Amino acid sequence: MNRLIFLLLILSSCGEPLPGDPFVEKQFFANELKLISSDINDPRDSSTFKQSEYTLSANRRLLVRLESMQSRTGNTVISRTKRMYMTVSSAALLSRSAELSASIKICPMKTNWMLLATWSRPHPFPTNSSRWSRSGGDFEEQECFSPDPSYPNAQADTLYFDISDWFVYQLQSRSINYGLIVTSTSEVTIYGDENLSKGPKFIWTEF
Amino acid sequence: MKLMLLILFSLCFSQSVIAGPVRIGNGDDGEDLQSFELLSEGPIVEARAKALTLVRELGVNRIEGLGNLIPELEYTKLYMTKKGLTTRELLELGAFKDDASGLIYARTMPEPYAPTRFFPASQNLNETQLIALHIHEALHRALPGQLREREDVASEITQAITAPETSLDRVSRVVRSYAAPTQSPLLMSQAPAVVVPKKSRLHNPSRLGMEYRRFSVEETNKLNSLDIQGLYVLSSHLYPFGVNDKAIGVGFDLSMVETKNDRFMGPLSLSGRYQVWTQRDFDLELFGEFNMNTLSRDELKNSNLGRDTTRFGLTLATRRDWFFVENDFSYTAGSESEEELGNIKYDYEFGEILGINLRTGFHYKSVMIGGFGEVLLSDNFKIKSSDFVEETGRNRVISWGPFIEYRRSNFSLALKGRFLLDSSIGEDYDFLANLMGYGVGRGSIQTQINAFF
Repeated sequence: MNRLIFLLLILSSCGEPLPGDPFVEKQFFANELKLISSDINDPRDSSTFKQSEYTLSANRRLLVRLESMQSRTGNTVISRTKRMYMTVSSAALLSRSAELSASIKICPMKTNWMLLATWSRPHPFPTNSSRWSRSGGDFEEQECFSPDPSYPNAQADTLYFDISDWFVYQLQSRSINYGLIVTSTSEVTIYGDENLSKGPKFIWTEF
Repeated sequence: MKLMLLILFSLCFSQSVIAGPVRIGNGDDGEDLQSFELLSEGPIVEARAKALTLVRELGVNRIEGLGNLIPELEYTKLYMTKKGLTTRELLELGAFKDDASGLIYARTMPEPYAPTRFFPASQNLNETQLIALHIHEALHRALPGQLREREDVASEITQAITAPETSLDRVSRVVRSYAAPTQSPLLMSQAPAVVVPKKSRLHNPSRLGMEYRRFSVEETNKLNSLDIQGLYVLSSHLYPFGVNDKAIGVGFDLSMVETKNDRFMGPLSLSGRYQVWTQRDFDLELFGEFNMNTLSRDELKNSNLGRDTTRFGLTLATRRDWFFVENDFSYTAGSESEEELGNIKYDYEFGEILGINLRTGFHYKSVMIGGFGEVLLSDNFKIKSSDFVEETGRNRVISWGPFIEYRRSNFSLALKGRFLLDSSIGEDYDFLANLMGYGVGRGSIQTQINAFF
């Protein structure tokens, strides 16, 4: 019997890490954030970057990117159990969790942008790509990510978005890092890049 | 043999006639020539013709100081003493040296177009000697000022002209050897006089000026965050170097930037200029300027204007009675700058710029009115960070602008404009990042006060 139990233990542990797991969880705060709004035309408006909070709504969205992400994620492991996440935190989630979980989404960007982006333009330079295909940023609604409620040990004021597919298909396969855009159908204030503990961040596993 | 005769002949002249030319009157009243008869043919007349051919072929009229030799030789009247005169009469006419130690062949007076009087002794001279005699006598009338009466000078120049296989250079050297810097202006000088055209910029090339530019920035791409409203410029361009019609200048331009809420030092420009040509009412000037950014990294962290620029070019200008035209050709070397936005550093690469500028207008008394048109071609503009790259390719910026200037004596007051006429899509002067050269935004109005000297 003891031998049978020992055999079962061995078989059940093949797909899971053993104690002394070589995998390490990495977390990086996004360092390139840009608020675009239909009310703001000045690309250098100081309220659109390097803020501790950003207010999102139907006409206010947040462009997010981790600079040089490809070079930081060389040892990333993506599997059925090991995923890459992006987090968005807000004090409003403590009281409006259900509403905001349905309204806040994260979508992969299809056009490159810089910190002089506006609601109508990804950058101010006179080139063929100087305007979004549609105002508010180029992204596909059907490719957007909703919050993943299965993230273990989630914090109450934070939403976790599984962006593993975006990482694999864009960064790893095509070496394209156009970042993501945070959208919300409801007005909500989220923490920004100047908040040293609650700003948007990327989480993944490395070995 | 001919050479020996010439030398001997010259020696004779060096001693005697040298006594001449004796002022025996100009013969106008006929008295002094009563004992002479006009020569119209014969060896003496034929020798004069050959002397003329000699000096013409040599081109002595190109030598300063001998410009009158050919006409003096050609038009002087030739006289010979009449036959049957007594020795006493010949003596009174000057046929002998003062001390009666030798014979005189000919005399003339040191005045233009005075006649030449030949004496019987000249009939014994051969053709070569007669040719030299004609030239010698003509020199007494053709040489400038106090040199006319100097026999040594006339003899040496005659010898140079009549020497076998002589040359214009040889004759020039002999004539110049008697030139003195403080003497007659007809004598050769070391260098030709420099004539600067009346309208040339050389007369007052140096400039001290102050300028204020107000930029039009309301509808721009806001490529820089400094919110620049205006620029004050103090210019000093002096031309202390150069020789004759060439002038070399060195100058600088100090600037102060005016923003909505602040003022700070702008670019510093150092320049060199070379006025290389001023002929046929055209001035040609070469220039080079280096514009240096004077702001620190922290002061410029929200701007792409931190680049230094180097520019070369030439200006070709002409000013006529009532209009003027100026062409400028310039080349600005490529350079880089960087800007920090948020937590991201962006690098800007500015390509080379070729520029052509046409400035023209009218002037009446103290007022000048005109305008300019300018085409700037920029090689490429590139911005990049770790994850973002964008290039514009070749860019064009076409500008125009009017100006009006009032100039009185050495001072002027000018009002100018610079406006965008056409550009690559959405481009304005911000993309050139040359605040001192082109400014920012979509144009500017400039007020300028200058002193020229």
